[in-house]
Parts: sequence; structure tokens; C-alpha cells
Amino acid sequence: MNKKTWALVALMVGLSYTAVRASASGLGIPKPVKKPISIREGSAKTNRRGRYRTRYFMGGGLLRGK
Amino acid sequence: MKCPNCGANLDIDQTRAHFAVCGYCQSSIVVDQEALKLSGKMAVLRPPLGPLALGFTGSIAGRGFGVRGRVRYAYDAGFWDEWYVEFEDGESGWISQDEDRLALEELSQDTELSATYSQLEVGDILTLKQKDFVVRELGVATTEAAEGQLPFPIIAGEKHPYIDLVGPEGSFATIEIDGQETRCFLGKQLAPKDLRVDQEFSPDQKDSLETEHRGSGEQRQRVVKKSGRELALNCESCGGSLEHPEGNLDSLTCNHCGAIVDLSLERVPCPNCPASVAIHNPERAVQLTCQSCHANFELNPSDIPLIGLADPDKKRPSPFIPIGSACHLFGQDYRIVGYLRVYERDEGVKYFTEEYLLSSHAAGYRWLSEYAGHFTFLKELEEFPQVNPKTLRRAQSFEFKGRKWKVLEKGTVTIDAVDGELPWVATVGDRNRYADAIQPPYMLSAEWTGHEVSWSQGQYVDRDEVAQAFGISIKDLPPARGVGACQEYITTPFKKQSLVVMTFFCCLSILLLVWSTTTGQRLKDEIYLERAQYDQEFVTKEFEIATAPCLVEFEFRSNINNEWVYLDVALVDEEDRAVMDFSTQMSYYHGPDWSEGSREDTVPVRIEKPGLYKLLVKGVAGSGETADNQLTNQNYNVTVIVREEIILSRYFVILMVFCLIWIFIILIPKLTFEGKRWSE
Repeated sequence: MNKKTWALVALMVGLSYTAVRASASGLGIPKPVKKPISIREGSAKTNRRGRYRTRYFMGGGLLRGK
Repeated sequence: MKCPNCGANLDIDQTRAHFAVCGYCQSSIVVDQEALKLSGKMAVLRPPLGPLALGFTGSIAGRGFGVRGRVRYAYDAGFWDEWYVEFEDGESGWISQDEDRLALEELSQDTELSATYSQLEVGDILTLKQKDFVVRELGVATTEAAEGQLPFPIIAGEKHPYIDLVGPEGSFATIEIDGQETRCFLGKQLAPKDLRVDQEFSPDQKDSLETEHRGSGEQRQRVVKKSGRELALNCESCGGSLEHPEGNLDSLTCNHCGAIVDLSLERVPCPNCPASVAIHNPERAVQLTCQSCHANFELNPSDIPLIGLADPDKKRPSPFIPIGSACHLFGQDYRIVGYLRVYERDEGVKYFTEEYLLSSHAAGYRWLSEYAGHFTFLKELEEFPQVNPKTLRRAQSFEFKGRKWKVLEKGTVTIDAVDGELPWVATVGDRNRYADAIQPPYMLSAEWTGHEVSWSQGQYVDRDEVAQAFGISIKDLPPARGVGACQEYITTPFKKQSLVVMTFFCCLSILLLVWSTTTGQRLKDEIYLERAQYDQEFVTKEFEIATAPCLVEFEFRSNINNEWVYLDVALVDEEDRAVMDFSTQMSYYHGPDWSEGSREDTVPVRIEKPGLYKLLVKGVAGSGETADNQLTNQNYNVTVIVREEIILSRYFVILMVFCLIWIFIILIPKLTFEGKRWSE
């Protein structure tokens, strides 16, 4: 095998190792937020506007279909 | 024992010989248990050209033998000798000598034939002694003459249909039909190292073979003369008349075309003009072309010498490489001695192939075939593949000599032009079928007519190599078009090696992908959500994530039918805190013959702490662009399956795709190359 092939083997070993680590650690998927928000009604919300709200989800869910 | 005709002493072993020819008066004698009976006269057999002669002794692979008799048979392309030998162990056999090829044959008493002569065709497979033999030739031989003692009576002029068969590992068989009797001889080709002859012809005897009688009687006489002053001297390449040089020179340069003229070659006078024609391979040459008057003539027999004269109105073939050109190919010196141009007609278009016959003192004949500027160097095979070329189909595979061959093409070629020396009589318009199988850079080619099949094995020769071998410029060769039949796809070592490396890592990524899809433990309790529940914010029952940190996968399934469901989801811990948000959507539409979307969706998340969790869900669903307000639709129900300790698959998919793209990039040029080869 020539030097280029060895370099390719090294690259692929590195990529494979990275893929295994990324797959096991969950790279790129949702993680817990650092400051969780209470979902109890009337609790202080820490949304960007700093307002109180009665529902956790604000908006969304419309016009999502075909 | 004495000859009943002349009284000469006959040394006959009566236990074996049933026939003998008196060496003094040529009387044919049938050897009976009681007496010797005259059965006629036998023509004189001319001295042999090979290593054997009557009375000679020798050994084959250490097994001693003595030569007791000889029979000469004539057939369409010449003659062959059968030497009757007795071995020191009491057995007897036949050494067959056809041109320079020797083979040992022994009569096989208990061989049953599964087909008759009339049922067989060339290329058919016949099983003899549990071995498959290919029918190479079907013909009729004429007994010309005999000498010495033989195990059966010989009648000169008698015709015997025969079948020549080629078996595996150098074995072959001959079946002779003699009236109602069929004799089967099994044998093997004899390599020069296998045969040792104790005696040899003296140089004087060899020189005295200036005239060799070939065929039966004086009418079929071939005259082969050493180059001498009694014959005109003409250039082998251009036919130009040359002066005999002073002194003993081996060669001279033609002052007409500059070709090197080999003065050691045997020459024959042209039957049409005063010129002489050189013979490069006297043992095998059958047809010659005079380069002065361009008459084609057969070397034997001499009573019909002229095959044809060149048509003065028709343009002579002008090979890219002239006849007489010398070359050095595959470690051997050759000279072009013959030329054939054949064509194959396809949809009204003629496709021409030029075939150059190369001759070498050491290696004999070889062919250099050129089509569309691509060259193949071919050698005729003694051993045949165990397949019938007539039944081969395009792209069919078969094995021969450890290689797997794939049939590239089959067809019929017609001779368009003939020039120079050839090992058979070829005339313009002759046709034969062929099948070419390849394993680049090698080619296996079968050619057959109604009564004979031959196989050749060849190798692709690069144009640069051909130009270098002949010492000419590559510009003098025909321009290359497309891909040669057995041209090898040339790639760099790195590309070859990277293909192996990337194939390995592609397989590895597939294995990792399979592993990742089978990991993860499904929690026992599934979560059911009805439309009425997730229409408002709804908190599901709790589930326990025992091992953390770990990856957890939520699989959402819905029974939607031409509908969609969208859910906002929050993962809520034991203290009612939403530790993360995500959303999921399922949308499935279909018709009678189409569908799109999916009834399922999966969301992987990472959980840092073990404990009890629940989901806060708020969703909408519908069948059209906007949400459906009908809460009773059962199709909008959703099931959530939770799996913990999963492994993500996506990175292995990316790795696999990367490997596949690499492999694809490497393979595209090769596939294009192969596509061109098979489309031409």
C-alpha cells in the first residue's frame, strides 16, 4: 500500500471512531435545558418576555398539514 | 522369415505384426499364423522430417521403445505420420506426428462411443473414459503408404473417416472408422523433454532432404529448395528483385524498400513468375503469396499450384505493418509472414479486422490481430476449454486454465484479403464462425468451420508496445477507437487500493448501522394519546428511565389515513419541570397506486439524570391544510413507545454514504469503460 492509501485508512479509522462516539453520545440531538421551566399553572415563566402564562405551549401546531 | 516376393530377410514379430512392408521390394505382406501372403505393392515413403525413423529406439518419460512401422495418412491440409512403436514392457502404441507436433496414442479397447460419426459436429463434447473431449476435427483421411510392420493390414488409397478430439490437461483422442470397425486411440501431447531418441539423422542425411515428396505419388510433389543461386532472389516484403550477394551472408537489406531479407530461409519458385518466395515455417506453411506478381499458390499439391492471381483492377491490401517487418514481442523475435483481412457485416456495415501472422524459428506461428486500432497477440491452443463454442451465448461465463472467461461476442467473419504465408489454404470469400471470450487483458477465441474448430488464447498489446516492437512511430498505426475487446481498464494503485479500503469501511458502517438499530430497550408501558387528550395540554403517565446519562428514543405512531398529526412535546421531570421541548409530525397520504409520508416518527433525546419522567403534549390534527375540529375522529390517536440506551444510526449512515460516494467515483470510469466495451 502506498502512502496515500495509508492516509486514507487513517482518515477512515478516525471517521469511524468519531461516528461511534457521536452515535453513542447523541451528538446533534436535543439535550436537557440548563434551567428547566415548571409546567405548573401560574408558576413563574422564564420565557424571553419574562411574563406569566397559564399554558406551557404558546402558539404553533397550525397549518402543519398537507 | 523371408519376403515371399524378393526373398529378403524380414524381421517380423509374428505375435504382434499382422502386416508388413518389405523394405527392399516394397511388397505388402499380410502376416498370417501359418504363412506370409503378398497383398500388393506399397509406394515408397519418403524419409521423415521429424526425429523418428524405422528402427530407431528411444524412450518416453523413461519408458523404452523401438519404432516398428509407419503409416502415412493424407487429409485436406496435408498429411500426418503414425509411428507404430513397441515398448520394452511388451505394450505397443502409436506416436502421431503432424508437422512438428508429436503425440503418444494407445488403442483403447473398451471405449464406448455415445455418438456416431454422422451425429457429431465440431465443438461437440464426447465423454470417453469419464473425461470430456471436444470434437476438434471431422474429416476423411486417405492411407497413402506404410513401411515396417504393423498390427493390421494397410491398403493404400483406402479412406477412413476420423474424429480428432481434445481432452483436458493435454490429452486427446482419435477415433478412426475402418469399415464396420471403429478404433479409439487415447493419447497425450509429447513435449520435447518427454521424448528421447537414441539415434539421429546425420547432417548429410538432413541436407539430402532437399526434395521432399509430400502426398501420394509424383503428381503431388512439393519442392522445397534451400536458397541458392539456381533461384531468383526476391524481397520478402516488396517482392523486388535482388542480386545474390557475394559471400555467405545471413541477410541483406532490400534496395527497393529497405526491409531486411533473411537469406537463410527456404524458397520456392513462384508458379506464375520468375520470382522466388521465401518460406518462414516450412513445417506448417500451406499457402504462399508471391510478393512480385501477388499470385496466391498452395505449397502442396503442385498439380493445382495457383489459387488465384491478383486482380489488377482491384487495389491490393495495404496493411499498416508491411509483410516482412520484424518485431520483438513478449521476449521473442518475430517476422510478419502472412496477412488476412476479414470483415463482419452488421446492419449493412462492414467491420474490418486485420490479422498479421508472425513467425519465429523458436516459437512458430503467432497472430497479431488489430481491430479499431487495438491489438491482440494470439497463440493457437493445443488444449481446449471443455465447452462447445457453438452453444456459447453472449455474457455466458466458463472456466479454463484457472481463469473465468465471459463471452463478449459471436459472429461470422468473411475473408476480404489474403497475403503472404499462411498455415492453411485461405481464399477471399471464405467464411468461418467465431466466439470471443475475455478476461481482460486476456482473450480466448474459438473459430470453427463445418469440419474443424480451433481455439486461441491472446493478450491485449498496447499500441505503444506494438509501435516499439516494430520500431515504428505510433502515428503509423491505425488510430484507436473506443475500447478494445480485451483491453484492460488501467487505474492507479491508489485507486485500486482505496476501493478495497472503502469497501471495507462501507461494510463496517453497515454492520455498525445494523448494530445501532438493534440496541435500546423498549419500556414495557406504552403511552396512548387520544385526540381529545392532546387537543389541550395533556400530561401523560410517568415512565422510568433507569440508566442515565443515556439516549432515549420516543417513537410516535398514529393510525392516520390521508391525515396528519402534529404534536408539541415537552419532557417533564419528577418536579414538573420541562427539561426539554421537541415536536413531532406524522403525515400519511395515499391513493390507489401511490403513497407519501409516514404514520410514524421517532425523536431521540439525551437524558442526563435517571428518574421518573412524563410527557406534556399539545397537538393538532387534520386532513387538509388546517386542523380538524372534530374531536371524535379515532384516526388521530397516537401511541408513544419509549426506548432507552439507544445508539444513533445517523452517523453510520453518513459514514456509509461517504464510502459509497467514494466507491462510486472510483467505479464510474471503469463502468463507463466496460459499457463501451460491451456496447461495441
